[in-house]
Amino acid sequence: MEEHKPVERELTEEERQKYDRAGFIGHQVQKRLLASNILIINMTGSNTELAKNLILAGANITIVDNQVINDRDTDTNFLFTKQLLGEKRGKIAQEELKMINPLVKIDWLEQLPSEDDHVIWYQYNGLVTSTTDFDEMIKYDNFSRKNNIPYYNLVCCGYYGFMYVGLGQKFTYEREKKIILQIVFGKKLEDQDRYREFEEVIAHSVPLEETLNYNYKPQGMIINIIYYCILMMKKAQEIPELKAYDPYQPNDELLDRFTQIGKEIFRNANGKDATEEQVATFRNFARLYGVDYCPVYSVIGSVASQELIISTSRINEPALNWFCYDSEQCYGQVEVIQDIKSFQIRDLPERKQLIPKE
Amino acid sequence: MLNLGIRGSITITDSDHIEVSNINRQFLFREKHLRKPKSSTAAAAAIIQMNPYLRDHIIARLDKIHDSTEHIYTDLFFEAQDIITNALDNVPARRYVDKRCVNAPKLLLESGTLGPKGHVQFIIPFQTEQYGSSNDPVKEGDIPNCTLKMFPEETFHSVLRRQQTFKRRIKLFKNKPNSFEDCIKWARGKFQKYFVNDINQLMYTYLEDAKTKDGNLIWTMPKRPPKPIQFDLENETHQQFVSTFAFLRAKMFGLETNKDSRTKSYRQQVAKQANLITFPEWQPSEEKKKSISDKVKEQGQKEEAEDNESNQNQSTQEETQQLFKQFRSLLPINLQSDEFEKDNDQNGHIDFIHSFGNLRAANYKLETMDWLTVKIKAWTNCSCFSYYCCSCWFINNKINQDIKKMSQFQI
Repeated sequence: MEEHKPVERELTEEERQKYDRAGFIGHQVQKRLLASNILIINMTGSNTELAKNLILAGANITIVDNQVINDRDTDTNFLFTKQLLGEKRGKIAQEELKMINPLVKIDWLEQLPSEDDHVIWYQYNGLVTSTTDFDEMIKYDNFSRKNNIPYYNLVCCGYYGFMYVGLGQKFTYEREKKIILQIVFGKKLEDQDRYREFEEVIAHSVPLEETLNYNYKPQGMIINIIYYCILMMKKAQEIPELKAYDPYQPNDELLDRFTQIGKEIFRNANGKDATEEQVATFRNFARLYGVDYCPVYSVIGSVASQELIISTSRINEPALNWFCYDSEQCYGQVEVIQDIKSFQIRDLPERKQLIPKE
Repeated sequence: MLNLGIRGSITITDSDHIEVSNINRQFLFREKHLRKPKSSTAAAAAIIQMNPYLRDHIIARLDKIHDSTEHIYTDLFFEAQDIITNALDNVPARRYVDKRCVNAPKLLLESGTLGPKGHVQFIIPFQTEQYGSSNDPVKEGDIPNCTLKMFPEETFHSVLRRQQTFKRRIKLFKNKPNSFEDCIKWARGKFQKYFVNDINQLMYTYLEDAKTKDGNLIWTMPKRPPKPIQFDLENETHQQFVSTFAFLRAKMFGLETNKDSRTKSYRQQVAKQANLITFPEWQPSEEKKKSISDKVKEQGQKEEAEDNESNQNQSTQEETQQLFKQFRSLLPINLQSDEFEKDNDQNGHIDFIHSFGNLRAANYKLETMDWLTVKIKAWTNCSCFSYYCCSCWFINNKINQDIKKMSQFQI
């Protein structure tokens, strides 16, 4: 399917007043957000944070959730209180989010639209899930690449969290050229006299499995320990007992097996053993995999919302491929695990503009 | 974030109240909470929405943390806390809290955002440096008053100056309007004063080729020599100026205003009426020339307090009696006070600053600034120039006090 062409909508007087504090994101970005629609599957903790941030910025969302609010939801998700146990999660989320910003459109579906319905899928600027199952992740990723819809998967694992980004096979966006020096008539231009120049980039994402290739080390950079944890989970899920592991029923023996897999992967990638601290991280990651914990899902949801604003508006550089967050070290990092040098870049001379004096 | 142990407690304090522009990012607040205090609304939302166990464990207060509230936030109070966290909007307040935390000593979690950028800083006693140890490079510095008034270099200065004017009270009692036509006449008069006569006077004081004592030209960049502008009833900014000014004056004196007063056709109408008013040829004034050059020599540091009516309380009894007679003849006066409100476009406050600033910019051939940018700039300066026209109320009060005092003199 053709990739989504950005659509804009003019602001009404009410919207102008409401969104004027976020004026720094740019008028064009704001107009594109107002005409956008982002599909969010399952209102887990991280997805709820994401939804809240998106609607506060003016984006429209569609919630797909047929589950019922349970104890874990009320304990971890700020939208759901004890009185709402047993209600439909998607319906309550729609009502509560509508009160946070009445100006945006929030739809609720119980099922995903049919995969072949291209007309419906074309209207969505992004697809967000929160699944811990790698097979499901791969399935959505393939769908996203085939239909050229940006795909984000957010997972919170206790103290840790990560986000996967897939932008589809073809993703066109605009970014400002990084100009170090401008010389005009033999004189170096000061900051206030500089021109801003823009270029168009046609990016493409590689399939998810390829981004789990630790042999690709861009320029010898050290990779975050959380990335190895993700590799560990992917490999572990090939074994049925490990795939069925429930964090709410801890089992030391299974956790040992997880940790063993993690240690092996680390040794193969780096040629040396993981430190004790790193081994403890592997173990904790597996122990808390998929458990929503408020401060961490708040960070993941916020980073994802910012990225969705960038990829929806197609102005500025979106991140690829994994965002890893470790709250114990207070450290978050984007891991680019694909070759971005192959992206096509095209100059946009017609967009050249003088930097306005502040 | 508030899933803390049930034995602890949280104290929140914020002297601010909820405004329309807060709702788009402070997600605990809804439309129904407008004008309520932020701290108690946030506390209620946390208890009801998120964690009912917090019910007796959150204390919401409305005090600033400041020298003046040291009797509330005592040293004992600080020592009883485990962590202090900041969400302040200015550096002096941050420095104050930092000082108290260093003295206690307590852990401080400091943070702030500006557009897409933000920071979080942990200040741990005996381990990290304190907040006050490092300074950001000074960006703009204070802009001298004479720059704002007579030598603006940027349209931004023009806008700032208009805000200052907006803040000061000008002698209104002598020319109390009785109808909207009077307001239009007054507004057109102000146009003549600010953009024609004052400019002429300034250029009379400092001629275009005037030189300083050292023999250098006074009017060298960044000082630009201004030119007066003629009132043009077709010019949209002129239309906006006259109609907004007249509208504000009418509102202040409780006169009826047209609800379509912000439409283009209405503004054109007002401008047509204003255009019919003629003015005598400008005459240079030696007195004003002296006062301008004096102000420039002193760098005009003092705020124009002399414009304030309070200075008219002269020492001699005779003069005060005169003044009282004048005031009495003008009573009853019904003055509406108005706070500077940047969010409600219908009140004309941003219109005023926008048109005034751009007309002054036209005098100095500076670039004009569009309406939206003016609004954003007004917001950033809001903390410095918070209230306009509260001096209207102040003067109302002052008059009442004066009347009480005067009655003692048995006139």
